[in-house]
Amino acid sequence: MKRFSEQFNKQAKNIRLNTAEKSSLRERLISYMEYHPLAGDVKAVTSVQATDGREFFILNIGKWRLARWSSSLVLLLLVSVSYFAEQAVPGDTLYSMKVGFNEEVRGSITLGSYEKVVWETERLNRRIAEARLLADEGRLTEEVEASVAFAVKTHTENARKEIANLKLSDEDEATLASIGLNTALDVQTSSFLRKRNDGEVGVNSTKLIEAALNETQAAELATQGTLPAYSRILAKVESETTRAYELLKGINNYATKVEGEEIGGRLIDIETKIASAMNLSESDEEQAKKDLVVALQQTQKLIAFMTNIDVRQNLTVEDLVPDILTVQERIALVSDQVKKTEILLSNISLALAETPAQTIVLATSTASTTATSTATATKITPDTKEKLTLGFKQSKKALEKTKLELAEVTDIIVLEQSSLEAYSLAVDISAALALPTEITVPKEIEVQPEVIPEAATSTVETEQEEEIEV
Amino acid sequence: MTRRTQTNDIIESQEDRFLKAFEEYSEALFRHAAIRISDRERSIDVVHDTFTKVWSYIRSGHEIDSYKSFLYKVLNNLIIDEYRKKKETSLDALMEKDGVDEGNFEDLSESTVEALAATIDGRKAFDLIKQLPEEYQEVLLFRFVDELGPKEISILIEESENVVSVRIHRGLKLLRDKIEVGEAAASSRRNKK
Repeated sequence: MKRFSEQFNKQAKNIRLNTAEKSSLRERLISYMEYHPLAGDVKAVTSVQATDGREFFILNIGKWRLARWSSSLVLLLLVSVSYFAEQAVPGDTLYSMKVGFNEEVRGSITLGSYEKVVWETERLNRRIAEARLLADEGRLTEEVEASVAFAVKTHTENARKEIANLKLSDEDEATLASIGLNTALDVQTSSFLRKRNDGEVGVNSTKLIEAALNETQAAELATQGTLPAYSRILAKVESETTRAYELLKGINNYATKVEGEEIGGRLIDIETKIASAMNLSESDEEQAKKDLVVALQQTQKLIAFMTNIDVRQNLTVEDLVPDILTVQERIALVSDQVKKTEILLSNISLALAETPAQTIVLATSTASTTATSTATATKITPDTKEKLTLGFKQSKKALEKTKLELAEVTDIIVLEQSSLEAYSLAVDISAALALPTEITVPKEIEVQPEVIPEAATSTVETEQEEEIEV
Repeated sequence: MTRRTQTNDIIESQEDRFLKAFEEYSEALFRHAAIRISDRERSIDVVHDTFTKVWSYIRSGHEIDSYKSFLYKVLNNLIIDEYRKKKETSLDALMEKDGVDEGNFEDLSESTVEALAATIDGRKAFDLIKQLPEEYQEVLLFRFVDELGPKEISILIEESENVVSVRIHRGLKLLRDKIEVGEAAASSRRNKK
């Protein structure tokens, strides 16, 4: 037997895997194992013959799948509900989720105190936007308005607490946050004020919210402390203007072209203001800081305009950031006004010269100053004509003074005052004589001097004056 | 030790044991398969399939007490499947199978088998084993190549131990007959020359 076994086995042992075959087989197997790894919770220890593991396998995988699917479903549900809750307004089923969950979660993941102030300000804006929406739809009940007013106070209070926290570590940053909050309150207050003035309050009043806003704004203004360091304000202004420019790039998607141009113009003005503040910083840093704060607030208002649809609907760019003219622009306006005055005076001169004292047509005292107003033929008395002539002379004198000033501007304010005096008098006299007061200065006048030659006009005027004097 | 660490240890030990079994038995399994299938490439595939099936079994949460017997069991089933696919049964093999009544060897002992084996040339027997019916090849290879005992073989092929012994005995006898037939034929050829 042993011999047979040995011989038989020896023959069999000649059949073997070579190294390459064994290595390849091993690799194939390891690859299979990698693609079919053991489950993480292998724990069943059963003997080969003991149990049917198939059932266990199915049940085990089933649990995993069930757990995965369930968690995915819950997550999907949460995200969907959370998304739809964002559109909710007070009174909606999902509103409590919006305020109590979405906003709280977002607030809790906001780390810095400054960012928390920004977020509380954003929440304040949201509450006001919701109230406006409801007011527009006539759904703003007293209860909801009271809750919004309360929320305004709460969010402002929260923001103020964060500012107080921030003040302990970084006073400058706290002041900048306070400026931001104050600007936001200012924008919202202006928006409400404008809406009320326009008579668009609608069915529901928003007085409670307005009162809350005014109250918080007053409190906020009272707490304004010293200005932050020059470099800190400058850094903030630069970051805010950068943001404003970025927003401006996409402005055409949500604002009109005119609004876009206006914002662009205001940003250029702000840049000019920043540049002059920087120049001023060496001689008068305190004033430079004040100018920079104004620039910062204006930039933040422009950002509010570009990011807040309610603000855009209720306010214009001019309301938020009034256009501040440069000296050159103001001179150009004066120059334009001078031309208008000249035309008005020319008309008055003709009217007074050509019309006898008894037949001058005067506008009724109740009529407006426009040329289209209703006029009744009234005989002018010599006294009236004398007064009008006196006014005419005064206007002419002021005009001459303005022209002289225009040649070499020394004080723009004096120039504007004298120009305005001449123009106002001319308008009043024109109105009294039922002459046109709305004068546009067509460019044709400038390019076609032959129509009203300066020399001829002046000659006529001189003659007329002589006639009047006579 | 945390539950997670324990689980990782279990996974590591499972993989280690499996790979150790590969190193230990892959050669023998291949040899067994190669003799019975007579196709080297196919035999390698069958060994691969054997190990992947065993791995799947482990993945399904089972633990294997004896890799050797379990691997041979899976390999044997796969080889039988291979035979079924081929459906090649020679007339001689059928006739030889029909002529055997395994029930007649009730008291066949290991000593009887040894006595018979002692009369056979192992080298010649190996060369002729492919001519035997599949059932005899199976038990003879398990017994003399893989060196499994009758009890182990009986578990593998799911027959009684006695049936295994009978088959071994009968297989050896058939081999001896074939050798004798071969030798007789060679002798007559020599005489003719």
